[in-house]
Amino acid sequence: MSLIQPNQYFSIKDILVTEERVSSEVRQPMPNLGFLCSSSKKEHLDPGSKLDIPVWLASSLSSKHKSIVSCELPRFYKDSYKEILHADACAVELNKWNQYFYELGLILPPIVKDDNQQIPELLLEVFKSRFRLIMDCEQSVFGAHSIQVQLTALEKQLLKQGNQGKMLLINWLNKGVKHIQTSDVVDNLRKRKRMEV
Amino acid sequence: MFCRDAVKLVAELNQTEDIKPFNEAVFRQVLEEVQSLFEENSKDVNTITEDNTAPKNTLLVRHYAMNRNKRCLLTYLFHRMRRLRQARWELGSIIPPEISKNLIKPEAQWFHNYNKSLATYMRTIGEDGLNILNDIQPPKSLYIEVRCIQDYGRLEFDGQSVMLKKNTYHLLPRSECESLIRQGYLEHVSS
Amino acid sequence: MFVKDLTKDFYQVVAGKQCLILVNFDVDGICASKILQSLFKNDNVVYTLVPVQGVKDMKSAYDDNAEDIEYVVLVNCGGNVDLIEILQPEETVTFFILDSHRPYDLKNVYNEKQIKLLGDPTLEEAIPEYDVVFNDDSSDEEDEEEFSDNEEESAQNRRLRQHEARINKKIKRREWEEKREEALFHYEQLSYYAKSSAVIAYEMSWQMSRDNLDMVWWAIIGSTEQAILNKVESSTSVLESGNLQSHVSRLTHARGGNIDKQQLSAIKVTYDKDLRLALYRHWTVEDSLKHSLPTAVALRLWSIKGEHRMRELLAEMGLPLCQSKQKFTSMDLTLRNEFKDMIEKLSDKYKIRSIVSGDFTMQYGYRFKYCATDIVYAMLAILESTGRDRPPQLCFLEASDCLSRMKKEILEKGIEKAKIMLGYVFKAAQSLLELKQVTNAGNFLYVVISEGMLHHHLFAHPHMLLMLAQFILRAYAESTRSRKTATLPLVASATFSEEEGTCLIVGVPPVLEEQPRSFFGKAFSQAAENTNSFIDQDYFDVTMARLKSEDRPKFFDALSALLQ
Repeated sequence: MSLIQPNQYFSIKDILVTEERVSSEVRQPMPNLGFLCSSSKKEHLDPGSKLDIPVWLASSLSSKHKSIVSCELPRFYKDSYKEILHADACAVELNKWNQYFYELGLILPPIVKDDNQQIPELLLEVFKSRFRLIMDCEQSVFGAHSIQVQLTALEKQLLKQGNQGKMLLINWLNKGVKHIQTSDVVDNLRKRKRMEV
Repeated sequence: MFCRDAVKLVAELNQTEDIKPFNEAVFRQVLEEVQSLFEENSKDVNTITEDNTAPKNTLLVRHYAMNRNKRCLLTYLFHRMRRLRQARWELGSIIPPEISKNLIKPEAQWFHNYNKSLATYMRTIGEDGLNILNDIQPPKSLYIEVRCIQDYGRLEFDGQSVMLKKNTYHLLPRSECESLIRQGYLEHVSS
Repeated sequence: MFVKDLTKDFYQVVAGKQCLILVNFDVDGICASKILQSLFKNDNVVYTLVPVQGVKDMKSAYDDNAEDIEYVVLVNCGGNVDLIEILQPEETVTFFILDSHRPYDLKNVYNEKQIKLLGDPTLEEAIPEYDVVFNDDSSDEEDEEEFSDNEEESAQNRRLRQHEARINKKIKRREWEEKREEALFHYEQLSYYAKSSAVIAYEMSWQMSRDNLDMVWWAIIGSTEQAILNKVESSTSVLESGNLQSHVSRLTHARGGNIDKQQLSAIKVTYDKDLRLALYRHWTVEDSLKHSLPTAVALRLWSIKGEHRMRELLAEMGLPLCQSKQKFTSMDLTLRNEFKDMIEKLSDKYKIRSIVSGDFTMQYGYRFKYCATDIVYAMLAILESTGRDRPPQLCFLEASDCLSRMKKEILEKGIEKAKIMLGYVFKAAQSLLELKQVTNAGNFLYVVISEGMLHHHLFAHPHMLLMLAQFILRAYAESTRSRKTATLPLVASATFSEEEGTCLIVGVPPVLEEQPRSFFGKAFSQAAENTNSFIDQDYFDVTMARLKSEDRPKFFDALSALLQ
């Protein structure tokens, strides 16, 4: 599975990322959709009302010539949070801010306009500093569990891939490629059987 | 918000790599949601006039929601199919009951058809056909040492037969035990 | 029947065919089976290996696997029991027995067709002749010997002569039976161990020129186990190590190249003078001194005075107390190097006997250096470490993995377990000696591990109980100073299974005897017969048996009566 490659139809990751909420403001009236906005009790969505809509809806509704809604960047890409990230990206629990920090940062700029926040640079910087942390963790045995709480989904996947690569290398160095393994499917079945018993 | 149920299905896929029981209840709910969105849209279409173009936006929103639902449903089916295909390559042509009880009829039918296609293809290779499911990794020796971790019973091959009981060690030809190792009855012991 | 030329009559018969291997749960058997396994693997012999713990296990394993199999190899099991009767095999099955337990069951020795004993018959001791033991003549039937030459003889005379003839035959038969009983009694009275099976298997591979340093190493471990558990006399084991040393040097030279300059990453096996301190390279000096038989017995380390004596010894050696409490590998380099010599010099003063002996060490790469005794202890500890989720077969597999050079973690775990095991043995011995629980029953000593003792369930394992028994016997002999105790054997007993109410008994021959031959095998079965108790001599080593706990007291009485 690709790490970050937006717009793949069947990708589970994509679907989950685009489900994230973004706060936006209605620009054109939308009759009969008042129930989407939980605070107001009106029947229609009037311009000016604010609500949180998922990214998949936001991206389709705020494209260039339509602008039915206008969206705002989530707060953790903005000022005070940016300062925290500049200070020390590794100590931040990015997982709590948002599971899909990086992916959202890539998808959002076309949707959210008039922003001078320079998200791509921010993402790159954060990733660079945290990547070193992940690499260290993956090489050692001890830190792995403790930092997993801090990692976003992407970083967790990187960590897992790093571990797998390391194990493959070690196995190859030690024994060569002659072992036949029990399939993972059977392992999962057996684990479930043991739990059920 | 629309499409909450559909995303539930996808999140369930994300949890484990197993084939879980087919979540028919949620699937139906999603289909119903799509149906109701369509009906509302068809109602609202008629209210669009030259002046009142506002309903167009609602129509758009509902349209996107329907597409999103369709995408989630298709993803659900697609990934289940993928995992089933992997199970065929790992476990052989007979799937254990733990998995097969989680499938619905169309999926079981698909599996059966896939088996047939695979078998037909394998038969066309070479003279007698070739079992491409063997030797997924290049073998290094003719015979391998294995340890039996679950009772299997008698294994017959080549005129000889070996009784596989738990906790015994054997030296067996690689071709015979490869599938048994993958199914978890034997364990390859390295020396 | 005996098979001397192992290559021709055993290996080439089995090569290319399918066979079943049954292995006993002891270190020597594991080493021998490892050698056989590697030979079979290279020859693509399809085999099935089943570890067995006793005679019942052997029978069930045979029944499970015996269909269509023509060759069965028994490693360290089956030599001293009547195989044909127990297993009831088909006519076509051939059994090859590689067993170091003696005496061989005579039915196995004289069975020409189905049973082949792998070994040199000239090395065997005092096997009675066939005619002494088996009576083949059809002279059982009443001989209708026709004295028909003399038809003229009156009927009465004839009947008289026939009657005489019958009586003579009966007398002869009785004489023969008496002689037979005597011969059997002498033959089967003492049980002992002969040459290690691993060494025999190694010599077979040497004859086939398929030996390598790994196999020699496994043979070394097999024969070291026999030395450690006192299964053979020390002189035999010294001779054996000389023999193995010559193989080692031959193989090392055969590899070619200058030995000194050889890469450190190749295997190197060396023979050195070494101390008989258990695991001293992986432990602290104090612990090692405490738990090794020679020092513990000589310094009487189970008592408080013993501790003082040990500190004296350490002080004289110049080893500071803080250093001796550290692991050996973290001691100062100079102290480490001098350690061996100092102990040697002081051994006379403290009357520590036989502390120095020869030992083999294997070195492979930079981090893998172990001596043979270490590995034997590790394997013993792993074999005995059965538990709820560790079935005996898993322990067998792990012990067998210890022998492979690749599985260093398992070996390290085994060494840790061995330390714990030796610690328990020592603590148990200490408490038993302090509480004076070693009872003298006149002709033998006995000690019972009661259920109140700490860790008593650990002694349900045969090897641990055996080590404890040997320790206690020597310690007791040392502490009582009476000449008589040195001639007494010891029987140790521990609870085997609480639910079934069985206990395990082990008999150890007396200290003074040079040759470790034990009469307990026969003695146990005889005493059980006399008292009508239920005894289960399931183990292949006949000095170990299982008994019902309630029968134990009268069993001991019967035993003391027997040994008068």
